Amino acid sequence: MTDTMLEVQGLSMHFPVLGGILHQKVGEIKAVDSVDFSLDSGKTLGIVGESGCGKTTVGKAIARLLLPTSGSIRFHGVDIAKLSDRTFKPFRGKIQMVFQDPSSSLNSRRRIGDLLLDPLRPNKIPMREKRRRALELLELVGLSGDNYYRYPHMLSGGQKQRIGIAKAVISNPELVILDEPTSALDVSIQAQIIELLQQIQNELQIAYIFISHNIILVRNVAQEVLVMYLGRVMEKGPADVIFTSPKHPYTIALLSSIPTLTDEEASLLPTKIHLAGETPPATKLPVGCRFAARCPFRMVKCDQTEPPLVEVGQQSVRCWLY
Amino acid sequence: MEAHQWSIWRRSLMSHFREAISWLTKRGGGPASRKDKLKCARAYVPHVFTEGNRITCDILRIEDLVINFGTYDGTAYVVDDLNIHVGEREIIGLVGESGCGKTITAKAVIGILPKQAHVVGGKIIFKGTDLLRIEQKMLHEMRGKEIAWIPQDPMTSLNPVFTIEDQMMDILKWKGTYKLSPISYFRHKFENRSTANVKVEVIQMLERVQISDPERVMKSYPAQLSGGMRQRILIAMALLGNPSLIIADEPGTGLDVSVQAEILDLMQSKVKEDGNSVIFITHDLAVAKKICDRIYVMYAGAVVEIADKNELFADPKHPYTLGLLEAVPKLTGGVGKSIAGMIPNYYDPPSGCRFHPRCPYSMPICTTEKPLEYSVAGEHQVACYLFGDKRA
Repeated sequence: MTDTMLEVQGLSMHFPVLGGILHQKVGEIKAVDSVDFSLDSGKTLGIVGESGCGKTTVGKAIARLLLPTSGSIRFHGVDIAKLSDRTFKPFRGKIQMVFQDPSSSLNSRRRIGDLLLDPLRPNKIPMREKRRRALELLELVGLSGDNYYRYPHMLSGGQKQRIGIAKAVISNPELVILDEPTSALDVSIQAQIIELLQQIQNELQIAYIFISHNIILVRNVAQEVLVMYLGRVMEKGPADVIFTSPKHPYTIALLSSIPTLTDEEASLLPTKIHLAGETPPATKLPVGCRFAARCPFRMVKCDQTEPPLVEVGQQSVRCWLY
Repeated sequence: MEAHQWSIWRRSLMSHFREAISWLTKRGGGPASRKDKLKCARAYVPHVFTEGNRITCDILRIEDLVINFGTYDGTAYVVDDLNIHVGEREIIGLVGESGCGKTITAKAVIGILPKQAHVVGGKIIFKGTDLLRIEQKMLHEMRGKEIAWIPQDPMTSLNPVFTIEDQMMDILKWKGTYKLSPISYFRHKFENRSTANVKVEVIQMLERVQISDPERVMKSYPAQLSGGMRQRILIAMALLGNPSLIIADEPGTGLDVSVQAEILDLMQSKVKEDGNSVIFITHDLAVAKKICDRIYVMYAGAVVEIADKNELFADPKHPYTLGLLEAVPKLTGGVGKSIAGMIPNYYDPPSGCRFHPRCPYSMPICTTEKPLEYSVAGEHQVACYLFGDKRA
């Protein structure tokens, strides 16, 4: 059963910059600029990039926590970007999100059980049924049932993230957006959480959008990868291909800067590319390629026009070199 | 009023009294802390140590350090018999999960422990002086000049209302000054003699940390700079005093991979140039491998394994180190295996080896007696009964 569940086309998210005495729009931040991708059910898409490159904004737009400026997000053929809040309601349960910081994304004044039942509120299910479901999920994420009446502060970071995952999964979603689910956790707990996520995916056939800056993790979790830089997709393709033969200079630089543990791992990485300078501010984007200022292979053409996303083998690369 | 509340209230009242008395009698001022009680003027301990037939000259030696936290829930036994030594021009790494006492150990070295922490026993010998037994004033003179600190979070560690120039020049002007009197402050302010020299020095330092446009950066406020830039400035600030020991508390952890790699390269090269010793605190084994010479693996307030970095990664011994290494996701495939269980509760830590409840090789003796550090090969030491002295 592999149909295209999610199809994103030309997704753009521009935020106005307000200023002046009248507090009017003086500029625009192009947080996300025409991003295209598609995702089959039961698969994982990884999004990697520096902080501030628009990874999280893409996730939030798909979960409709933000309304995109333009573009379409087709979920089983329905463009959810065009729906009103009321007509979107039935989809809310189908698209869920797990947030980065487990400590601050759970309301500290409510019990775990109440938090877990929140996503079920629009469904008219009897309370007994809901409770049974919540206890079932607590078991699924490896916590005992007596956590139902506890408060978030009584749990450790890893346990809280498990609650976050249980909360996302309780409404039987088809797509879960994982926004850096392990970056606030220790390595030893990170492995537990990833195992749990993979187990849930196998059992429930949920598609994941895995947003992370931990590239090694994305390589092991995702089947498809998007590499983003300043709101643009720089490279896109199957995870194996991107990590074994990266094409875009930015991807190569990202991969080459991963600290490794063994020589075997180090030999898998491309040779070191030194990135000069800083990321340009999102308010003043260059006319040409957004990466040009830091690119070691910069050409005259790069500063004048922005390269299109061209297909090279299985990958798509946005670079004039190809 | 309950008994414990009364005792807390009385303690705070007493400290106010003591403060008032010391202010009236003008004996240095400040609340009388535990350190003042321990004050035995300058406790000089010989600087050179002999280990077997070898004479080592260590910059810092932490011996049997024990730190407890007095909290409302009881006493937390956080650091338990810690031994660390840092040689000259050596970069050592403290590696462990969060909450294993890495930062507390480092804070004890420069004497900025939180109020509720008590150093119960042990010595911290820096260049022959026991830092736990000298006066606050002398410790203050050492900070910045002899021992510097690179904080973890570049976003919150700089003062947002002063320019970079002000903050960096302040270090050069006032480092080691304890209790600045208003007169000397205003004299400095109006004479303005040394500012030009100081400015040149600041610019040079900013150039050394590869900031391309130091003049502009100096005039800007922290909020106008990127995270990587701010972390560079924090490194520059630590290097300004030309300290013999730098404590780096996970620099660059909050930054992106590419920026972090640059920061690490930069720090390594500058430290090699200046010949400072560094205590590098991190939870990332790969980062430790990249930058450190020797690595201490810590678990629950105690060192479990000490080894040269190549040795440690080629031949890890302690079950905890093995677990940590397995937990890291690999490029070659696999998301890693987690260590079962959790970090122990510090109010009631496990008896014997603190790792035994999570250890797959746990033996009866592990539950009763704390293992010593057994030498495996040369400097490679492991605190585990699997590698020596079964006490059978």
